[in-house]
Amino acid sequence: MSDVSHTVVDVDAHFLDTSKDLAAYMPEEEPWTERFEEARMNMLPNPTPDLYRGGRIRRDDVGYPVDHGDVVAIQEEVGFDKIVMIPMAALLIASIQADDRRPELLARGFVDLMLDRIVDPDEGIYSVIPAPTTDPAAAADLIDDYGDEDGIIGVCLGAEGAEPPLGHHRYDQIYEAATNVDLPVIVHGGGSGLDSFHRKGYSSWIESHSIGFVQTNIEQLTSMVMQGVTEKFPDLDIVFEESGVLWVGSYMYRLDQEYLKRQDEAPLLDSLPSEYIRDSYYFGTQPLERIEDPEYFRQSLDTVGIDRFMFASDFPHWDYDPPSAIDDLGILSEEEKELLLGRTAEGVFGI
Amino acid sequence: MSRVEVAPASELSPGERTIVDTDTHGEIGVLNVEGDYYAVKNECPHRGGPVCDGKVSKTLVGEWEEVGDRPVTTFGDDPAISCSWHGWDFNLTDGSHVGLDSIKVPTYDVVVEDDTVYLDL
Repeated sequence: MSDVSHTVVDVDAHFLDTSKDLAAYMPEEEPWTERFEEARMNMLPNPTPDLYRGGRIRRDDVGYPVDHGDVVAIQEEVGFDKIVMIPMAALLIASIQADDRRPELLARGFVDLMLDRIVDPDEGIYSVIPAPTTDPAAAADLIDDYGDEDGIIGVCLGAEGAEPPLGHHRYDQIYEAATNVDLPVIVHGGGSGLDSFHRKGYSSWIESHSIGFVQTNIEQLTSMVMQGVTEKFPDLDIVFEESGVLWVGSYMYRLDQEYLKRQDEAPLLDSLPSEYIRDSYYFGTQPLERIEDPEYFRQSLDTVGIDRFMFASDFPHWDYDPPSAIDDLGILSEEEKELLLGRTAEGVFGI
Repeated sequence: MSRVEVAPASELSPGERTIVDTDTHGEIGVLNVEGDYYAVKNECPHRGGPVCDGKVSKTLVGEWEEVGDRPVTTFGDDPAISCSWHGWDFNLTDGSHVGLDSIKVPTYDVVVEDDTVYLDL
């Protein structure tokens, strides 16, 4: 159990939704169900290199939860009072560009699975709707169908593969549906190690992991801010996950300087991009960068606003951050730690 | 306040501009835009670029009507001038940056008396 004294909300823990798991929640008469049940190879894009460095990285102490009891045990062991379970497989649905129903069925299967076996608000266990960006109409239907379910607290969009990027008006119906049921949108970074990077010639995980999650989140943040998503949907909160914290302030100022030079190309905006970010956007903390200069770290958080960041663990992945990582920063007051570890997330997700 | 002669009004017709080098305020551009006169300091607050050489156009206004609609951009009513070095746009009426009104390029009063255009500085 963590010795952190504040309420801890982990806004980014992962659940491994295998093809077979998901198939069990798909309609029997749906041909894709059989294919997922019988799949012997991956039905989704998959990383190429060896994440575990030829056996040098081993995390026998952590593993994907399989049932409700596993999640409760993880909460007690690591110290998550509340936990938001994000899918692994269904997170990749934006990378399926095939013109078929897989993304929608995977997403629907995932939510049904979570509601049936995992989600339990009384225990602080929550999950999301992984909305397929390849099929915005189906995504909006999913949100309409599941958005009011107890324990479903957000709409999750995969940052990698969402093309055109998420500021495009084709996604309006997703944001409208999310707003109608008062759910925030989570944009989860991706791209580390997926074939797209290795086809380009990046040599190894160290390169793609350094770039991938930040790059894909930057792509989507740029598009969403400049195209005025929160001008169109002012009640919408947007949470970016799994790309750390230090880039946000510096990139925010880059957006501002571009805006001052060509604001007529972002005609829906009434103010600087940074103001939209400070008003409507949030950022999960994992993976927290190494602190060499605490003052620089502190200033970087203050630039955006401490209240824009939420603790995220990325559990059970090998590089997950425990709640004590926030304490270890050594630059936050108790009140700020309370905010960052849980209170901000409780407000945004209504939990 | 001092008064600086700019030009006979006949030499500053709509669409024309001139730059006056003043003793007290440096270079000031005086522009006639559709019959209205504007005066702006010829020094961009960004990097010192020659604002008054820039293109004059109406500011652009974005509108979004409904879910699924592509936002539409149209010309608004206010004239703006674009600094040609980096594209900073300023409202000609008050010198405020179109994207951030706390940034301003100085503007000045223009008066026309006896068919002569003057700056009141």
